[in-house]
Amino acid sequence: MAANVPEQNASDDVSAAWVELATLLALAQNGDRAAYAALLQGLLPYLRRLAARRLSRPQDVEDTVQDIFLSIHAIRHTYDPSRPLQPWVNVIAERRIADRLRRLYRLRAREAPLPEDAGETFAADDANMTTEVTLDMRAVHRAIEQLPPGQRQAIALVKVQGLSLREAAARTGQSEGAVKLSVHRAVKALRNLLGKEETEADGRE
Amino acid sequence: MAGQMNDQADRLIADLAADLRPIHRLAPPMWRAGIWIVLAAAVNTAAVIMHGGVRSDLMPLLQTMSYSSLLAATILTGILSALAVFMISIPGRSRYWAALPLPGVVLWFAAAGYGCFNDWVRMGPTGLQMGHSVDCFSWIVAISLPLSLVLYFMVRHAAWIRPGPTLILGMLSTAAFAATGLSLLHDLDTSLMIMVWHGGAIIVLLGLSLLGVPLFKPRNLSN
Repeated sequence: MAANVPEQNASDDVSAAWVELATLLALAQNGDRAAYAALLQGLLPYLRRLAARRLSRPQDVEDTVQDIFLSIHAIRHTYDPSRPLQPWVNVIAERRIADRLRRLYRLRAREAPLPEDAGETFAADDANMTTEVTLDMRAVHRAIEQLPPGQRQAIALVKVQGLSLREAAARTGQSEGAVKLSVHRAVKALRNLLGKEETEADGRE
Repeated sequence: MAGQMNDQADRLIADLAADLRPIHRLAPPMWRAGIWIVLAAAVNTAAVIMHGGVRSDLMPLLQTMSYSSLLAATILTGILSALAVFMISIPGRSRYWAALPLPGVVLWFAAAGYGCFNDWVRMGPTGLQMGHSVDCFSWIVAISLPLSLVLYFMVRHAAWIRPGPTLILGMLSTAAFAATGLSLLHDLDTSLMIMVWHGGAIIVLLGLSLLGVPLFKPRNLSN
């Protein structure tokens, strides 16, 4: 079984471990599968430590280590056994860690974290609009029903059905001025009624 | 969680070990750079032969400072950037090798710029226009294309570590050797045209690779 790269032991131990791993890679280049498995097992804790310095989620660390292994596998012919192994491994590891970070930044740029009050407010406009408009309309209908008959009729014709003052006047047999006054009073009354409702609703919360 | 991750890693290690085949180690980078430089010389020689010999005024031109310095600059740039490409495409070699071609590039730009300036003084703004474009362009392609394809094949493993710098230095080397060949064949200094076309090729290829075309990207990675 190959020696792992020690974490913080004496530097002699570390370099001895790297020399042993380099020998394993040289054997692996010749097709020695057991040496290769021992090499990758030996690199595993070192690569995890390296990745964990830049990546916080354990799954990201693990995925990155696997990417590093795949890279090592793909370009294992570029290692020259007469040269130290650690710089060779480090360059590959740094590239894969940088790739992962870039991918994470891209994801983060596209996704927004859910706010704490997400249960009450949605980021999408539509979600808010439909609910609030429906609630408002119900309150408005309730308020209209509370108006005196003349005002109720005026507001129904002018504001709900969208008739002009003249058309509404002709329909009710009143003068335009009278209709206008009714609408004005009705709007004022509705504003009062709806305002009161909102205050009551706030009070209930 | 930790156990599950160890399982994942163990499984991958077992898969990779099962997939292991003996491979040929790459020859030392300087040696491989030498092979490519010899190839560049061979392609240029072939171009001269196909062209029916070098330009007729080559001998007197070699006596002039401006021509001989331009020729020396393109050869120097070609050689230095070839060495740089083969060094930086290997993991564990210093990335500062990428700065090696700088002296050549500075000399090339100075010599080409001096040539342009001379033309301008001699002929006015028309001196800067590119004559014989189509003919020049086909010679540039004839020299650059085989060289860049071979180089791509030789350093394709760089996709896993330094695709961008490898591409830029590789194109620089190809461009410089194409400029050497062209200056032996044509009576015009084609440096500007060559720089524009190779620079354009670098931008297009880098752009493609940024857009996700797997030209210089390792393919087997997860996600």
